[in-house]
Amino acid sequence: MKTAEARDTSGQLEQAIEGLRQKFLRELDERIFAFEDAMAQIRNGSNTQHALRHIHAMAHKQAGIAPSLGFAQIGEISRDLEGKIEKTLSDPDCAEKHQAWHKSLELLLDEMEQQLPDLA
Amino acid sequence: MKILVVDDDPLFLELAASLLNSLGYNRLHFAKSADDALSQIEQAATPFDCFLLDIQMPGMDGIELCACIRDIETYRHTPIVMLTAMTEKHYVDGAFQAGASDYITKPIERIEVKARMRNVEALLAERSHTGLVSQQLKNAEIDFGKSVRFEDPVLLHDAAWVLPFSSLENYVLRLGNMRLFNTVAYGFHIENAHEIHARASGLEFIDMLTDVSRAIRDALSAFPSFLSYAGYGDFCALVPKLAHFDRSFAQLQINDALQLTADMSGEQSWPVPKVKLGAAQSCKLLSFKDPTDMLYGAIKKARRGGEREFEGFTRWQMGVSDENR
Repeated sequence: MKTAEARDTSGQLEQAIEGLRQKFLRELDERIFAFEDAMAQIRNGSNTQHALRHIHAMAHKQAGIAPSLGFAQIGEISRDLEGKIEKTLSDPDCAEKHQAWHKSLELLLDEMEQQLPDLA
Repeated sequence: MKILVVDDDPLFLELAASLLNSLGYNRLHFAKSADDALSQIEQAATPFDCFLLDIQMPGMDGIELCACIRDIETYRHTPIVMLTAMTEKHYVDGAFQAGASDYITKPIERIEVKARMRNVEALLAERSHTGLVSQQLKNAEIDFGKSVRFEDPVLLHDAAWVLPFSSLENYVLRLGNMRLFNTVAYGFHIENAHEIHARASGLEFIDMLTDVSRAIRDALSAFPSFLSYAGYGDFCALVPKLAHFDRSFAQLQINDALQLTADMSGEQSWPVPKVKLGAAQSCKLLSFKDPTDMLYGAIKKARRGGEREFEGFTRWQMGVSDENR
């Protein structure tokens, strides 16, 4: 049986995680914009490697936090994207690998957009 | 417990704070980069008791930071827990080599953080116990012999290359099927450990274990490996399966090194440790067995007879005298 103190701690944690979840949602449009901005740099051919590394870093961070806040799907696709970019960075001339991460990023952006508070 | 959490994601730091608070850890400090962490470490009025370090960070990464922290005398034995994603297992090996004590996988869950923090507390308690024992010896010069129990998987403070056994267990539990399949465990049993424990003081017993760990480390130096002490005079090492490892030669090398150490250290009241190296213990692909069974299986093999049951003998078993060596 849970003690009153344990219930209290558990309630405080749930409250704190809910607060972080809301914060994640509030920042979601900024995250989407950052991914799209990096994509635009790649399309323009300006500083491609840097932009690709930036997408990798953002995907890595998101994969580490999203599932803990209840966004398992965003976490999973972010992890997939991170892995695909790693493969591309180690073999930058492979068109198939570029296509793979492109597809993964599109999927991620779709999933993030679905979670946007005003579109949900 | 004063804890420093280092991660470049502010949202993750907030999450870590909430989880640690819910587990009763309130003396929390946060850094967003390795440089920030080193600066806080330098300026800390009281030292930190534990570090949680993210591995992938821009600039200096968590592995380099771990090595930097270990270089600071105050933090030679402070628990360092790495924070890493499942896909970053290859980084974990580097982190252990740099002196990490354990790791937590991202995304973090309360139950896992709780388990790893318990491990941290056990390490701190062990460290405090060993420190107390050393101090008592210095102060009173008395024989405190049995303060180190034979069965304890004691921490070897002068052997940074030896991981706590609980960390080695955690490591194999998280390896994943393919990497587990490509790894084997070797057990090293000190045949006369019980006799040495009975005749030596606690600190002398730890010194003996440190010498043995050094000899094992040197014998394994050609391969990336992890070594841990399990108590009862048993060590366990993880080695890549494809490493061409000559057990017969390794056992000989280890026992020769220990004999040499004994010769150089002059008179000692306990016998030279005799180490038996067991056959490799592997884990089958897609096995449903507990991966930690591999560690215990390796130790059992070493206890059952080590190299004797395969290649026959070593110099110490033949009783080769100094002049013949």
